[in-house]
Amino acid sequence: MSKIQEIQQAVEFGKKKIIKGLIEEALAEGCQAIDILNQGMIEAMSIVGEKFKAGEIYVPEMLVAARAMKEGVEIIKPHLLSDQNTVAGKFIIGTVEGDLHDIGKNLVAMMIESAGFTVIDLGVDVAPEKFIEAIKANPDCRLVGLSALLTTTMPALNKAVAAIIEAGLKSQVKIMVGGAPISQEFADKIGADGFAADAASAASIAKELVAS
Amino acid sequence: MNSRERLLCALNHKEPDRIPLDLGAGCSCKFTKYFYVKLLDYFGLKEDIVMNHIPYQLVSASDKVLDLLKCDVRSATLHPIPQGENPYAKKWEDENSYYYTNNWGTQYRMPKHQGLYYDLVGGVLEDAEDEEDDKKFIWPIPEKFPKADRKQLEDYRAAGFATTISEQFGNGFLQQGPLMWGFENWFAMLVTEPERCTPFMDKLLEKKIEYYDNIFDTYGGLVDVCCEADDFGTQRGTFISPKLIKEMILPYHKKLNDYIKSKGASHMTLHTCGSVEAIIPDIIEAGFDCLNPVQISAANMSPEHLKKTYGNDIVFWGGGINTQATLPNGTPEQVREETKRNIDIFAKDGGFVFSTVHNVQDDVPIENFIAMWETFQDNCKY
Repeated sequence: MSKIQEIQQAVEFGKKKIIKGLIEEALAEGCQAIDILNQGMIEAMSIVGEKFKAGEIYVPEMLVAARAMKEGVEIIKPHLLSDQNTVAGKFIIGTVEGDLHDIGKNLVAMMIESAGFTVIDLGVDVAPEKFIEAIKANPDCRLVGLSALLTTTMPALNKAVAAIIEAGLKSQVKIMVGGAPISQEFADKIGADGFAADAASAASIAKELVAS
Repeated sequence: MNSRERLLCALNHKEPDRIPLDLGAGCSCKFTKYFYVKLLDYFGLKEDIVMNHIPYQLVSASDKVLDLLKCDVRSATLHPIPQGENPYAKKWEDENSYYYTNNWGTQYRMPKHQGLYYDLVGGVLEDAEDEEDDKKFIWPIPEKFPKADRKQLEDYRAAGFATTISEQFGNGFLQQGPLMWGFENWFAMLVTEPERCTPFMDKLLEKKIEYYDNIFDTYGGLVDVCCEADDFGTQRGTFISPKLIKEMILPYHKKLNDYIKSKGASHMTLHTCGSVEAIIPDIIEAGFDCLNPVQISAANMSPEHLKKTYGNDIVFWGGGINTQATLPNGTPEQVREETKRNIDIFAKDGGFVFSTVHNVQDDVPIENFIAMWETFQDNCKY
């Protein structure tokens, strides 16, 4: 098994404690940092995402894999060339105004980050103007994700999407929405570009949307 | 048939005279504050609202309202007597929000502007790194309850109502941990450091038993149903693997259920949101008689499938109407159709207590709630 395959397995199975040693060994063997990141870690998280979607693994396994990846990214970052830092692009994320829930939003952010995006997390209870401000401040950002857990904050999700569209930012960003009561039908109705039912699907859809 | 006979008949998987109804009493069958105000307006009543659950902003519905709704279940109104000082409990506010920390050191916040709930801010063990740090937690002492409160359940019993205790000591064996270590830390610990989780769950079982001892000291012989809450499900499946739930979590519930039943409660309900179809046989095995709130909008939780597959072995306490879509956002006509459809599926051979899927929230239009209630009344007779 190659060192990169070993790294891939360590991330997939959440072996956070051995990741540092493996990456250092891989670098010493002459592996390129970008290959360790892409073929080792991002690929591992893509497998994790597929297994999660298929119901073969659950939230804890996904969490520990993402934590191992995060640890690995910290180690690999100084070795990447300056133009290799952001592999997939930027992703702005937040829970909409009036909604303080962040468990689902954080899982999505984690899987999006693990897919190679740089995540800009605006936190919870985010007013529409904050999303707009962040999009404008990051003209290279192509994706924004909005979360609402409650039926009582679904109108705030609608409002935030409408505000982004009204601000003329749809030519810059595609909008993804999610949260327990949200459906594809609702996402279509409010003018979102993508809906994901879970964190792993969110990462796949984000990749599809930037590719399209 | 009085309300208690009706409920017990349904819980024993037989058809009573009509489907028992629980709105406002049982676990997750309650009303949020602003919805309750709408209900009072509808009935032309004026009341001082008594809060039951602060984080979710739930009320203790009055007997007057429960009578008007023809509900069969009544819940004890607990007046906990604190045992000793708690180092964590406090309340405060700033310009934008109300805050409090509960006896478990879990901090909550509710925005002053349009805030409908208190939401989790953080837990006391979020920075804990090992068993030594975990041991610094100061456990709350289960409260006792005034003996005089016994009269409330005696009166309900005399009036023919079924009785329940719908409050618990802390959350469940899976879900108390996230409130202290944080969601991500706890869920990672379950698979990477189970040796930190089991001592906590052992102690939680011990404390819950002490809590139920205190409950039954006051209410012994008067409680038909108790409810433990432990959310195992998400919208699409279980949080952790069914295997881990079965092997690591449910054995604690089994011990607790056996204990509670030995103290005289005839039936145990498990409150778990989400898609839990994969573990229903294990939930039954752990000694639970009823499942609540039966989240029919989650994956693999269709009423047809649940009733056909598990209807003989577990009681569905909830599942009457989808509170994630139809009840708040449907038309009254859609509410009527869905209510009738769910009754038609769940009612056969008993084993069904009609309630909404979870508490009725502030955004539910009163006309939708009444459409549901009228449809129930028109279709509840066997």
